[in-house]
Amino acid sequence: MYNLDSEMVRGGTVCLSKAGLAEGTNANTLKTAAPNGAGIDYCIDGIMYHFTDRDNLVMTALAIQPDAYSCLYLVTMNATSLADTVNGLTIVKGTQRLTADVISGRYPLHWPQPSAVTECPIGGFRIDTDGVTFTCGTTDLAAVVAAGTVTYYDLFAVPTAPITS
Amino acid sequence: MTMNMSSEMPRGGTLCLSHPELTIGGTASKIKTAAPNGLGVDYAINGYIYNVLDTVGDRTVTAAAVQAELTSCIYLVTLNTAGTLATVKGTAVLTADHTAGKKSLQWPQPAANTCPIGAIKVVTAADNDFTAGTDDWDDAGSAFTWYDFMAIPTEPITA
Repeated sequence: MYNLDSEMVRGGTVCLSKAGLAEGTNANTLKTAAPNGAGIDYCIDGIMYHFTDRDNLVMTALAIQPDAYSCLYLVTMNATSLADTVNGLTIVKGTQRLTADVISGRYPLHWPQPSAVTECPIGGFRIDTDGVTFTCGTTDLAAVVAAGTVTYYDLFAVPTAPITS
Repeated sequence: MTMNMSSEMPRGGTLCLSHPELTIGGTASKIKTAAPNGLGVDYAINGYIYNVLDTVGDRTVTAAAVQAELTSCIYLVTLNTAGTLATVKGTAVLTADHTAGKKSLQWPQPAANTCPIGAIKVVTAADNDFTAGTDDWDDAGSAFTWYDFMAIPTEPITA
């Protein structure tokens, strides 16, 4: 048990609001739509930041995910996300697995690590390709939805357990 | 002493991130949230964040065994990943023992994969028992104290 009373808390990199991560209006983009109606509070090394809800967040260019694969993508923000009117977020690609292997329980999907300790995980998404390939930053998420599955997650911190099915 | 949360990357986490402002429902045997942020409660379970809106309104509490007269008891309030509310009845103690310092009120344990968001302390008077799920949360024969949580307090409630 982690007793926050036993010692004074210092630092901490966590997201304090549900981000409402979703596909953006423009192609190849994401958006945040926090249920609180205002945006996301998150902290990095104990310093708190706020990101006002925004549409059309450009997605990080990453390697291709082949057809019939599943993969987790971690979405993070840093201290300058609000000021960065183009990107605002960073995406890290996890280890892709054949969807059949994930479903059968042969391999779980592990959450990737943030790219740096100065990046706060605020969410993620899972791509299951089925008849398409996916390249983050190039392929429109709508194309995956049409032939495959996109699942969004909002995170306080990176989950301890991988996704097993 | 300090605990440095930056020395390792946090993983997982189950805690409430908004003040839920638990209060009696429009139907008095139920409860509701009235978060001061005006919209609802953000909470995390195993690292994933969820949200329930105040507009859900009245929420049914878990039916529990009767709490006898002249006792004190804590009812823990939790949410699961689907936003379903549940209450967990703690161990009732004689209020006289509690106020005398003989017995403390321990916070109940939540069920697995649920997030504690608050609690209610119920103190029954003479000739008046209380049954969660049946009786009103403003029952004239009892006293009610409402708590909102980030996490379950470390210490029990002492006299």
